[in-house]
Amino acid sequence: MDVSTALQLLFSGLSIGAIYALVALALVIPFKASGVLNFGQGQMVTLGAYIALTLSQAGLPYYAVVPLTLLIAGLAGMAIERVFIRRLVRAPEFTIVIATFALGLMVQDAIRLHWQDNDFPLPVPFSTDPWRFGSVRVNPVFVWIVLATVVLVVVLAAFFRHSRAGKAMRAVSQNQEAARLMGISVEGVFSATWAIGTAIGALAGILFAPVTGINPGIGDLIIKAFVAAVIGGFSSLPGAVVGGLALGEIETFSGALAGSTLKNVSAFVVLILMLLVRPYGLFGTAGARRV
Amino acid sequence: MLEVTDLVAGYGRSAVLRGVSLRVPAGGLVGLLGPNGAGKTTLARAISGLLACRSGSVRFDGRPVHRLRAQEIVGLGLLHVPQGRLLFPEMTVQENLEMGAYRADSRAAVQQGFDRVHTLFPILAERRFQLAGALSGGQQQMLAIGRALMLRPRLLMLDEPSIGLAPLVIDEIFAVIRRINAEGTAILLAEQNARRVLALAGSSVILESGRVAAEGTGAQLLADDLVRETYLGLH
Repeated sequence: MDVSTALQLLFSGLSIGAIYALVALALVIPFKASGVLNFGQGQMVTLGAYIALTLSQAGLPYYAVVPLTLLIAGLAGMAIERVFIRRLVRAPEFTIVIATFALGLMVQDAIRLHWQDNDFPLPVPFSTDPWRFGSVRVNPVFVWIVLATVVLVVVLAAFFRHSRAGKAMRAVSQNQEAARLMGISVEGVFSATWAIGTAIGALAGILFAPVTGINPGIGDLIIKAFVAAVIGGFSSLPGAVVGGLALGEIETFSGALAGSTLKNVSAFVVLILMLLVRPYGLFGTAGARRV
Repeated sequence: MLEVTDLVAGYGRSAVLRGVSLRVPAGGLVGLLGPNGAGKTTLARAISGLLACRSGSVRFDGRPVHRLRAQEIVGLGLLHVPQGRLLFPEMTVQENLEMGAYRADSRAAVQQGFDRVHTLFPILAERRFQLAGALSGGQQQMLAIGRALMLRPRLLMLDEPSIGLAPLVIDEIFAVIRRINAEGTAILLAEQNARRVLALAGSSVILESGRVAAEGTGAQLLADDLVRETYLGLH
């Protein structure tokens, strides 16, 4: 493999990894705060893509579609938490698993009912002709994915480190009772983290849409996001990002070196190895949490 | 200021508190004594709203608060420093204190809180960028108390602040409790360490199996041989 091929693979691994990282963040943020893992998160990615498609078909420009989609998805996440999850927080883990899974299926099938299994393009406001740097070709869509992910991660880091609401979310994830005794509304924090998680999932859908087209299966990448979250330790936000990027690279390079069959298997090989060697992930700490 | 009447509360089907009444006057310091399992922690949790009351009432300044949620009761100035401290271990000392001022209405109020807590516990100013989980037991207790003091509570409920600490550290904590009380904050102090509490508190209540077994001033309780031996374990 020559250097320019390697560079090109590195970059495309980075961009697919960025998508995995986003969806892993969308899983981990509400999980850390509320202890509920949203098994329907993949369909939130799908939902985001279709919200963007609808707004785009209504004639809105891309730069309006993106923030509006995030807003609508955030409100949808908040509504899901209020209407369903809040009533289930004290239910057995398995009930929650099934409930979130079912919710995801409902969303996906509702979408399928309306749009069928067609592929729709999501137009982007820039040329998708590859940029050439010497012999390295870079797809501008991938650059946009990486840029948007970097911006989101920086904004999130600043939010959790410096803002009052972000600190309250960290407090709730560390000790709910103590957070209540500080006057923090734990229910409000749950809602907010579901809003954030769903909005980030939707962003992943928007960013991924130009790569694959929009179809009801776009959210299937959730499985990779689970692997990414496990690599990162499932309770660490930096871990989710690192796990996503690592998985993107591993997949891309194993695909290039050993063919596309291995590409799809590699994520699960990594998952099994990770669970055998370091079950708490790269950044995780031991401790029983409900799943 | 705080008036608990016939309070019944517990976990699951069993009632831990079986009709407890007590009062804390404005500016007063009331001790809450009794053996392990008597219901001291349950009482504190029921008052602060972490645990639902089955019957009876809790009034703060004459206002019933037993139907309010914990985060609403905090806003009235009734603060609970729980047993086991319940700090945010992966946040710094400063961030823990900021959480204590979560309901502050201005930056100035937060700054005043920092100034007050740093005066009471200078070590917390020194350690402000350390993670709370990395502090010693005594420092963690100081942080837990300091966190509750950020917004000048009117009543502070302390649950076993001396547990697991060395005598010298306990001296320091009790000196601060005395000082906070002298500055006008009413205190309800739940402790197993009867001798220290009786020396400090204006009056005390002894719980036994979820009921009030005895109450009175330190002198009164110590003068009663039955109380001394049965409930206080003093001879």
